Amino acid sequence: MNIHEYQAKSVLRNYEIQVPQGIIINNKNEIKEKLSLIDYERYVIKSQVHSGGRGMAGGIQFASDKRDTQQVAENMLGSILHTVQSGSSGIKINKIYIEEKCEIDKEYYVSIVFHRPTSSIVIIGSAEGGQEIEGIAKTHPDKIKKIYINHNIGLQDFHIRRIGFELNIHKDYMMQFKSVIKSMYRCFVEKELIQLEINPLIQNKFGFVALDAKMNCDSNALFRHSDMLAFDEYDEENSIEKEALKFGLNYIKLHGNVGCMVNGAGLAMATMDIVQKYEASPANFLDVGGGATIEAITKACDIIMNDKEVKVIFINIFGGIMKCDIIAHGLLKSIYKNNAQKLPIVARLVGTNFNVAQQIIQDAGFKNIILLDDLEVAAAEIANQLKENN
Amino acid sequence: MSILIDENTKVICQGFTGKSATFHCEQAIHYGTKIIGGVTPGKGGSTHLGLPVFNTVQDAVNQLQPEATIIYVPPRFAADSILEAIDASISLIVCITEGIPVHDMIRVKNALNHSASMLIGPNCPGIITPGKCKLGIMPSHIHLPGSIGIVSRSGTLTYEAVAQTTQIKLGQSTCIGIGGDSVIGLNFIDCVKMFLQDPQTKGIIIIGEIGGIAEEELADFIDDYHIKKPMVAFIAGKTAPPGKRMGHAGAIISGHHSTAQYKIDRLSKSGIFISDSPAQLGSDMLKHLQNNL
Repeated sequence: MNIHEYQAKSVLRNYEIQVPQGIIINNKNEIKEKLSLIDYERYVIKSQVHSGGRGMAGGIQFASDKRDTQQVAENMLGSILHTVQSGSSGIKINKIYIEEKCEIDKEYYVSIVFHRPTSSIVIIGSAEGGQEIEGIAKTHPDKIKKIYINHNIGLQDFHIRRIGFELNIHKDYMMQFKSVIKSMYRCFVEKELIQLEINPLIQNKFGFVALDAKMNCDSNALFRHSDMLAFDEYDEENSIEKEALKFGLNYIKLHGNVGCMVNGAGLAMATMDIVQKYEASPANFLDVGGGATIEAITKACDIIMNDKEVKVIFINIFGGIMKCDIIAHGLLKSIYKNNAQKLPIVARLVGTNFNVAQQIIQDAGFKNIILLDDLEVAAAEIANQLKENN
Repeated sequence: MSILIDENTKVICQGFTGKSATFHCEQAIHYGTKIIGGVTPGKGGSTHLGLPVFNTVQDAVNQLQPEATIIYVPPRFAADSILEAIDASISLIVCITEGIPVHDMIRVKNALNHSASMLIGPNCPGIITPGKCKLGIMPSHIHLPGSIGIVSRSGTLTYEAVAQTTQIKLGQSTCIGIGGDSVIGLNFIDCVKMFLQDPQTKGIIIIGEIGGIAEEELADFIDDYHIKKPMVAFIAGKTAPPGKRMGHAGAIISGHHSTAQYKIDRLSKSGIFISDSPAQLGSDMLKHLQNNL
């Protein structure tokens, strides 16, 4: 789970890492009032969105007085930001963070990341801070220093010395730098992060300041970090996904004409792939899991039926723990609820209780449900249905 | 044999008296698995499903000398259960649990590296040698004793491969679900190496997905290994968008290395045939076995 810059900075403050003074603004009504509470020499207005490349897209701006700051803030809040990562639709800016602009003598890049291939923790540093790290990795890989840490041994002084010398930290600032790295590591371990990135970590006469902060928390660990969980937000983009999660459904909205419902993440991905093989486009990823109730299946069907882009529904269930008759009951309930007797539904149900499911569906008598047991044939039928309905 | 488990493997169950464990152990016992006891802290001395229950894994090991353990324990406590099994020197540990925190698993991985134990999972359906031993939640009736080794990061997608190879009468030697997490025990290389050395296994099916570099590492391993057998793979997630976790904790594209297409290209280069549909794994495997004769 990614958290916003302002949230990450609040966490870093608790670990005695210096961050610039700042205030968060959640809507246009708050701007004037919150600005009256602060008095900076110069202002930085930063969009709070889950995307890199904000600066280049105009999501980070500067102002020298409150009046200009207010203007920038009013224009930024509620607007759409188009970054290189945001896709064609862009991201809506729902929050902005107004910070005091800092003096910068040097800029460094420091991050701590879970390294999957070795199951270890790696500290990554570079004296080329303030830039896109991927770009530096391509053009000057020698400028990126990596130190692998064995989790059981933990961060040792020699690790920190190494990174300090590799980054050419000035000896007058070495002690403070060590303290920052120790704090970052402690934060990474205590909050069970997958990634903690400070880019840039700037150095000025006051020491080191985290000018930007990115934190990615392990979703599996959130049950024991209620403070991090509290940072999670509902917004327009993910409200359906979060609603689905309440029913134990794993749903990711994409853009396409075939709504998919499957049991098992691997099979769900494979189902999306086979839909594309037949030149249709999956509208979503949806894994109902193994223990879904009729209510959850109904909810799952509701979600995909209410997606306006969906023209055909593909239900692919290999019932092991999941019983096919539960799927049948849930599907029928949803069809009644949504008046979806005309929406073509290709249902491939095999495994536990598949014959019970088939009987239930046949008895209901809906002409729009096509029952097949071969996966390839079912996928081909999807393409057929799309053609017929065009 | 097949690999890792057979009709003689003695097994205990951790979390034995829980609902999930009870359901699956009953099925496993019915299948012929030699489950000989289990562990639930606080219930030591009682019996469950007619078998002895112990307070600790060490107690169970002292009394029963099991070769394997299967863990049905919630995510909050699962890593601790694995560590307890490692500490008691159990050779094969199978953990089904989904949702174990990454930092817990990093600790487990470190402990494994310094032990003689092997871990399968977590977040997996388990391992089965058809007709002989079932450690996990897979539907037993779709399996058939035979010659194809299957190793997979997925659960239900594996069942597709199993059903197809059963239908065409090839059957399976052993099926291993290595799990969908980013930190796991046995990986593709470990399992494929065992399959290549197993005389009963004539062909190998690999089911991979986006995220991580396990498939790429497998390709490197196969290039240099002296034993070759027909191998067919399916890599799920060609249509997955970058940066999104697709159900499995480990199924996330971060960088071009971890895309399905990158893995497909790399495996192809090493001579592994890539099925373009999950519905063709059986027929593709048969074709390649026949080509090999």
